[in-house]
Amino acid sequence: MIRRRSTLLLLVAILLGGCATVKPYEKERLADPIMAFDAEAEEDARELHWIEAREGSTGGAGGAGGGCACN
Amino acid sequence: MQLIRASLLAGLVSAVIVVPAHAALFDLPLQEQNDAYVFQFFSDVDDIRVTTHQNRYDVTLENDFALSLGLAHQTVVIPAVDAPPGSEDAVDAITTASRPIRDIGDAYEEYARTRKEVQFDLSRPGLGLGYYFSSEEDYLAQMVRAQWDRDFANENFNLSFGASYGWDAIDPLEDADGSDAADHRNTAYANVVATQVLTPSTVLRVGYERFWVGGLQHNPYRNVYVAGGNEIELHPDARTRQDVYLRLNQYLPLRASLKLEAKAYSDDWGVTSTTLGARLSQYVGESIVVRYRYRFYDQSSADFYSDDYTTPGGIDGFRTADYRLSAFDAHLFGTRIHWSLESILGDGGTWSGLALQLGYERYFNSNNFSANILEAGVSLGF
Repeated sequence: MIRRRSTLLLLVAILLGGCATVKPYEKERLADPIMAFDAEAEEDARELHWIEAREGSTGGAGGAGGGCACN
Repeated sequence: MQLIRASLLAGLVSAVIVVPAHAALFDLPLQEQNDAYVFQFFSDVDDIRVTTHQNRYDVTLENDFALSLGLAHQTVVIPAVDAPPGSEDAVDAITTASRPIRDIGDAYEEYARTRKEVQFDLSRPGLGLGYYFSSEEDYLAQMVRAQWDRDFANENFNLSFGASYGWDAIDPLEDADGSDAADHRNTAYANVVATQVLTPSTVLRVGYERFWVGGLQHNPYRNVYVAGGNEIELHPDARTRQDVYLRLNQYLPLRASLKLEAKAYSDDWGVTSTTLGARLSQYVGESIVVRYRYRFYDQSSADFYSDDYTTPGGIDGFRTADYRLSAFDAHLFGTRIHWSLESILGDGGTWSGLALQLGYERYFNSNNFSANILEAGVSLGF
């Protein structure tokens, strides 16, 4: 089930990549710190540490990275 | 123990030396530096208190190399318990490894343990490498990681691949009724993450992660009650875990943003979970950001979990007293204030990059567990 969902989601993301029309000068809002994915990476890592000791699942903190595509 | 101390010292010294040495060797002048300190205090319904001091130093070099050194020191204090050694109430802590009960005599005394952590990362656009080291009295964890990513479609689409490998040495303390045999745990990890700009105000991230875990995965100090007697906890020594997550960030009018997240998780022990979350950030003036947050979590139980085992064989040969493998749901509420002092201290001075943050979160679940998490931090960019 998870594999199907992830394949579907990745396909959607890849397909969406082909129709992006946002120009660099239109990305001012995306570059705002309150929009950054990685702004809370340290906080998420701290949370993952204590929450893994309280819940049976893991992951979701972004893993090894991923660009913000908003520079 | 000597080995742990020596490794920790070596990691610290090498990290401190490597940053300036690397810069000097390759003639890479420092561009930007940032140092951030965070203090976190965690206390739960059982009065377990966890104090964490964390410091992270980041430096960017002229040719886009970036170096990062993270240090953390954590103390867990578990209060005296009114329960017999080895019982369900006498164990469990915030760290995965839990409270050892050496004998009847000290079962009711406050128990404290510390954890020290070092992280070192080297990256440049599109590539990152890292090393992680963590040591406790009975647990030594190390991990190496690598990440690659690339922009496409005029930087509107980013694809990232990450992998890590961790190896843990577990050396349980002497315990009156648990198992104190040395053991290990290895974890291989891989992910793929796609990030897509949808509009000038919307960006979407989708990720898939997979973990392969082998080795000791139960708590060597914890016992399971079976038909009126005690048996040592026993989990399978292999676990494959995977999750897919989606994050959507939307910029809102009046300088605010809404971040939505969803995650679906499953593993071959039979645990499945769903996580949903939202974070709303709002500027107050030019320098203060207030953030509100909610997170919902729901999971099913593992195939071999039971509240009442009738035979020592448990279910399929395994038995557990770990409530993390039971079915439950959880909620988390929180707020956080981030205050950048640049507007007060001026632009360009030594302290111009000073920022303060303060946060509070409340966590509770359907197993009657609740916790308060308080965070205070200061960061300085120069």
